[in-house]
Amino acid sequence: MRSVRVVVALTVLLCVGLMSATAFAAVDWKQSQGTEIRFLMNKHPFTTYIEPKVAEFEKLTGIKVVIEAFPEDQYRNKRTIELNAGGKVDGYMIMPGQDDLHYWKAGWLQPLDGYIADPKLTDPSWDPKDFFASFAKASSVEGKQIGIVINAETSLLAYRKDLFAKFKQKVPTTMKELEQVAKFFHGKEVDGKKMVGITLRGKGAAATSQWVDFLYTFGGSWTNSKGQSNFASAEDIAAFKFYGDLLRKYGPQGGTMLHWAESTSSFMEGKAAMIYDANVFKALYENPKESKVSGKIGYAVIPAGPKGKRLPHVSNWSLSISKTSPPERQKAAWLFVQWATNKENCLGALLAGVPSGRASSWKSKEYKAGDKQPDWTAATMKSFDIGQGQWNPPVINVPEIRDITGQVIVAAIEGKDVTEAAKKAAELMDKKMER
Amino acid sequence: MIAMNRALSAISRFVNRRQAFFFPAPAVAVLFLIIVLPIAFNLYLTFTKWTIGLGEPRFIGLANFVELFGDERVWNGVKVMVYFSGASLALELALGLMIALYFNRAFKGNELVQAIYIIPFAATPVAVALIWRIMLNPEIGVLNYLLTSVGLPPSLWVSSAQAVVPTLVMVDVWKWTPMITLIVLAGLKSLPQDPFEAARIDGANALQIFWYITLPLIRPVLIAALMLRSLDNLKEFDMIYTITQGGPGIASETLYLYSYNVGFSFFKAGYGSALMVVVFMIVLVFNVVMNRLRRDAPAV
Amino acid sequence: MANVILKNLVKRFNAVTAVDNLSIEIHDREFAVLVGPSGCGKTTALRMIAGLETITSGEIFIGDTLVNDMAPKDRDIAMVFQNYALYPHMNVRDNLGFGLKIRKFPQEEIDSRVQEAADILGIQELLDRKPKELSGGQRQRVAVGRAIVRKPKVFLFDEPLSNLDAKLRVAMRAEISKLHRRLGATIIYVTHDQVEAMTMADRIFIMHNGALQQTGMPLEVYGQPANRFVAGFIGSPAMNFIEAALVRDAGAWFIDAGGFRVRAPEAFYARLEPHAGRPVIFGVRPEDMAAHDPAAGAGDGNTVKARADVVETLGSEIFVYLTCGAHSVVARMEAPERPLTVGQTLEVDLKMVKTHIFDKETSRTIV
Repeated sequence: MRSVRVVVALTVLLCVGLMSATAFAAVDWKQSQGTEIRFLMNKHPFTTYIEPKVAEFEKLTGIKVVIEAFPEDQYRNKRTIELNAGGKVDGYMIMPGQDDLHYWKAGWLQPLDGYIADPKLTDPSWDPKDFFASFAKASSVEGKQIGIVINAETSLLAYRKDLFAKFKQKVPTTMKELEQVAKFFHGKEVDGKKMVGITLRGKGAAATSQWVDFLYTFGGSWTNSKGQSNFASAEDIAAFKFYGDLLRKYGPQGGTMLHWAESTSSFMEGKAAMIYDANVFKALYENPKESKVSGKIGYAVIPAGPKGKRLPHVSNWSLSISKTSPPERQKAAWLFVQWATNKENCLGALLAGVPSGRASSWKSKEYKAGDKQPDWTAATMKSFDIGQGQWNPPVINVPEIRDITGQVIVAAIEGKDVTEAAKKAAELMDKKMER
Repeated sequence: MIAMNRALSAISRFVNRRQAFFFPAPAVAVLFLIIVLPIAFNLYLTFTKWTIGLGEPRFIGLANFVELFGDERVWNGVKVMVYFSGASLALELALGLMIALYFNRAFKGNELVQAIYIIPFAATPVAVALIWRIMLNPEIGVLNYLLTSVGLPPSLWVSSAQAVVPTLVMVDVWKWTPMITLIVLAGLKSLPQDPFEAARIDGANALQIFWYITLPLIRPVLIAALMLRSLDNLKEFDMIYTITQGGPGIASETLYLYSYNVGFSFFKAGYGSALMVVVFMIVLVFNVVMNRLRRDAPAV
Repeated sequence: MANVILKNLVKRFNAVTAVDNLSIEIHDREFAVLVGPSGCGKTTALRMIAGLETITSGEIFIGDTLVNDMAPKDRDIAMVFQNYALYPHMNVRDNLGFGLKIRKFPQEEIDSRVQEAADILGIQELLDRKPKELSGGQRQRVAVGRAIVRKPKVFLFDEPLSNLDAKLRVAMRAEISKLHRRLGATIIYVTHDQVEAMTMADRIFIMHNGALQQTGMPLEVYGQPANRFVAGFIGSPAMNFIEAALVRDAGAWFIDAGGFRVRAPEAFYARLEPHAGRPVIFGVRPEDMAAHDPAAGAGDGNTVKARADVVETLGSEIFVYLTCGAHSVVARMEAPERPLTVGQTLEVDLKMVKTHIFDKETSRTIV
């Protein structure tokens, strides 16, 4: 109801113009009138969604918003270099799981808690409790909220519903069953094609993003209670070994060179019975122009580990505010972040295909009406509920430690001595970790 | 007024007398800004520890270079570099020379064949590498399709730690042999013809003419081509990065690729700079040796 | 040693006929010179003998062997090239020994032959130098040396002296002649320089437009040229050619050149008969003209009036460029005691017995 009121308020504002917004809402949207703010963005579907709507915000607030968007790889470098050089950046998109510690230590992330708590700056309709707890946590460092989720992701097991039915296979609920089902399908001839049991990412550092779900589910962790690498622990080694064996024995050839593009195309070609990868790839799998298996896929959360635990990771893009930006512009930037992540925009983005971090978006009539894969939605929501926001090593030098981790994954896929590789990596990780 | 005129003419006299300094000054300044400064900064960084974005570079003396010797990936990088560059340069030189000798003879359609032959060399490296990456895919790539359709066993190509470097060598040879061919062909065309005729009359057969006459005469050109090619090859990046990113694992990670990763993926500017300096030294030493070989070669 | 026989040799490059039905026989131990202007086919013929050019048609024999399909290396020939064709990367010793090394001669044999050749040519001091460290003349000696170490049946020389300066050329000419006598080998020598041909050859083969014009000993072709081309090509300065008509008057034959008229020697009469009244070319060599000695009287009708246009003094003799009637001619005379002045009119005696008369249409020699 509140959002309706806001919409009414906005409409009135737009029409009448002279009247003050304070008459209808607690926040004075015009308080930063005339300020110009600059946001760096990744060329992400969310950016595509929000850019044409920015004019509405500018009319509402009188704030001028400059958005500069770049392709992802280029964007990350550009952002780091601009912030490092102290350029005029008031806000930016960030994947907290990837860069939060680095950026936090560098002093580039402004805690948002103060803004959220201030009734003069945050409209009650914004409703922070509507965000999944996993994502709120994922966008925080040392208990401080440093970003607001705009794109929410997790990983899911996708499987060939048609083949499972045909061969009377059950959707795996444990890792043991996962292996058995993979083994069952591996080498089966279907429509003249030899199947593989499952496809996964195997390309070193790139594979850690999905492997980490196996790590957590097997009860492992990046570091132990002393803050040292935990790779040499029995749980971590079991996760490395299980993941590597699964891909080597029941996956496509050349597992060590599979990035998500290769892995998903294998699945979409109909060559793999299962795939474990990002949930958002549903858009690829179900696109009949790209995929030979659209409409034949079921989705499930990660199977449970030896101790019955399921712990997938969630990852997200957030909008953050640059700590180096002066207070006046920070305030304007917060108004923008708040507006961009309000219920209306989050739902709008979800309907445009950008997975929302707000529960209300997923539960809305509008979304449900158009949902063609309700079991994907159900699995996604479940994964969001149980998910863990930390999917990268808890260090500043994430890429370097991911790279070290990737070497063990490669060794496991190649069938080498995993224990030895893991021990060596643990030593190296202890030496290289920066916090 | 008079004082000003006097001052102006004094200035113009000053400038006139030092033309040699003033005229090149802008160019020198630009060169300094775009060449000397970055190199100097890079050298400075080699003595520091600095993660881009985290504080200021911290001076640590030679620690980066000490770390380098204990770094297994450095040794792996050198090994891959020597393997890749040695094999590809040798093959490119040998094949380039052979094909140039072939093109050097007049035959029907020579020009058309040559034009087609240089296409790989003319194509954009990254675009070509992307196409190879798809063709090399062991599951959906066309190469394995071709192999199996003529009854040969499929290969894992770049997906196998053993096959990856030979496969990259193959792509590099495919791409760059035409360049060597063009250079050598130009060299061959500029050679005097009569020593070859003299050798025929002296009794040399085709192989002896090649060995005793062609090869020594073309040697300076071959070395020049090798130097030119080695500059790119020793720090080959586009192709390897596009096709394998150094994988599987680090099986195709040359020293240059590793230094890129350290600098631009791990953002460790100090250590990365030190690695770059090592790559630079290797390229430099190789070229100094080659240059000496070339100077010792006979001038024709 | 061997003779070389070319039978109906033809070489065509696409539409161009470079050598046109050439048939010659070069005797064993002969110094044969193929001479003619550039493009006459002499070098092509030589290269076909060497085996460097394919033969369009005809046959080549060296000794008694048909060599048409034989590789150069099997023909037992050696060749000296115009540009020396030394191996730039080898020192002189290796240049000389290369042919022997390729033919797997034992090293001592190679060494002694190289030494011998070096002694003959006086290049002992140069054996360890590279070609680029040699002068043109030294390179030429090395090129010759490379040919002689092989002791082939036939030597082929392709304009070997044309890149040398005039003085060196004269010296090398003599040396090559000496070498020929010493080696006693068959030499086929190609040149465009008729002086080389005249001074070195046992026999001269004059070529023009791919075809053989005349064969003979130097003085033969000089004294009895077969046609106007040979007459003009051999001799320096070249023979003067004057368009004229044959006129019979009171039982005598006269050559009427328009501006002047001279009487033909009686020895010519029989040959002139068939050409009565037809246009001919009257040929006089410059050296067959002399200033008229007034003391000798009026002469016998072979004295003409001429105006001196240019006088070149060479010391003991002079070249005088004369205008006789409508014709320009060059005379080579003894230097007179009183120098000639330009524009001066003088009387010139023609040595009529040495003059030539050519058919204007066919260019063939009449007398």
